[in-house]
Amino acid sequence: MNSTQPEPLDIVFLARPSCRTVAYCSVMRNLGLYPRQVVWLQGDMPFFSKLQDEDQRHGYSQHYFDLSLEPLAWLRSCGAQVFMAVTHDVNAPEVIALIQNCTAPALLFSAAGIVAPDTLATGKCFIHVHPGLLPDYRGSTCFYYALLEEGCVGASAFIMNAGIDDGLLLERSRFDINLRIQEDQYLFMDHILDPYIRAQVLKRVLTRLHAGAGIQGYANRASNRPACYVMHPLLRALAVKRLNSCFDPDRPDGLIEHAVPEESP
Amino acid sequence: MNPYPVRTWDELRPLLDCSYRGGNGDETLARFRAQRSEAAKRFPGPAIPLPSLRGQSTDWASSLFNCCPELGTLMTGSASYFETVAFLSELLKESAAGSPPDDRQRRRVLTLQKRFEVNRRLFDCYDQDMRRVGDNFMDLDAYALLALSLQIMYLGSNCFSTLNTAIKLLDFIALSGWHANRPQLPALAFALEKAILDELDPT
Repeated sequence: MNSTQPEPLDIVFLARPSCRTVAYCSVMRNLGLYPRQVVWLQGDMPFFSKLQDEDQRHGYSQHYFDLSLEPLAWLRSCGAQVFMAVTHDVNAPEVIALIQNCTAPALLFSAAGIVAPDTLATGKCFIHVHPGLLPDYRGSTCFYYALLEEGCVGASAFIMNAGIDDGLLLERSRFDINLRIQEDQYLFMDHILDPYIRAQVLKRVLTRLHAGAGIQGYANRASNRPACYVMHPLLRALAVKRLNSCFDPDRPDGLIEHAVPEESP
Repeated sequence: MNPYPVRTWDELRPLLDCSYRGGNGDETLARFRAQRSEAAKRFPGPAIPLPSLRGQSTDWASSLFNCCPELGTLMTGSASYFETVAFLSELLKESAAGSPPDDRQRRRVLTLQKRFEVNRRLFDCYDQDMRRVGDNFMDLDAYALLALSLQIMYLGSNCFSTLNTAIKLLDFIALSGWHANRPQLPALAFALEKAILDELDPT
């Protein structure tokens, strides 16, 4: 962890209470960075006390990201300029106005829902990290598809446009997984693994931005794979079983990240 | 008491939404198996040996047309409307003859898949731009035929997106309690699903 005073990064952080937001803040804190401006949406995490119980038993905070981190308090303590919205809706006029008032040119998205064209038209460069390797794995539960089909997961950072999980790519990673998920890790997949892999890819994007590399994305090849519609719980359960069946006790537990290079369109 | 409650669309919709939000553990597997066990009582079907299906789509399709011969008479697609059951019957008949779907047919199946995923319903008729015509969405034949088509696409491609929607279509059939004109169709789809899932999870 970086113990010196964090530096501001010239981005807007559009966030709501979620494990993803905790994971993103955890990565920023570890990099010694914080977003200069924040638009904070309403939301709740009704499962959070159960997640803390799982954290006690399985050490998520040690191995993945610090669940004791309170994002809003941390952002304020860093000196970020925080604008509070009284809605959870990313497309509400109030939120659009708050985004327009921010001066930073780029926006890191950690909210929910489909971003409407009016919101995208605020002139910011919306950066989103999706828990799947684009362009093949699109959709909200796509990492379960990747687990079933390839035995690994991936994440992609990209610049959002009006399409769903579509836009110029910034960074992509594939993660080999060697984990045995216990029956009492009910929240691990959706609330720890998913935000963790996104945060790892975000780390590379933020490092680039901090180094002054700018936000140049690249176009990807086309994909004719059908979209990954919300996965049925049965297949999600089978994905977890498949992951467990591939666990190798002779190898270290955890995830190994491999950066995925740019492909020709 | 009717062991298979017949639900209205307003009763069914939240059940479908709920069934997609379960957890990912053994409890989910147990609940699913119990639900499918009930469905199998309502739609008893043949045990299908999966190895004979892989790469030999004619075998299962022959079974389909043997158990439901009137399907072969449904190919009456009109030029102005897209009739869901007729289209899917024709597609499956071509598969029975060893002819895989062409690009246009595949696109149409994927459009029906999308319509179901977004609206949770399949209508019996669409226009040529695949906008619904009329409001009949209660023909379980259409749900079963689309499930069969998607299952066969899964067997040919191992693409879980198609299997995923097929499972949801069979949830719809199991939870709706609606009358099936040709109960052989859901029976075959449930039997094929069991063979596929047994292969994925031998335990």
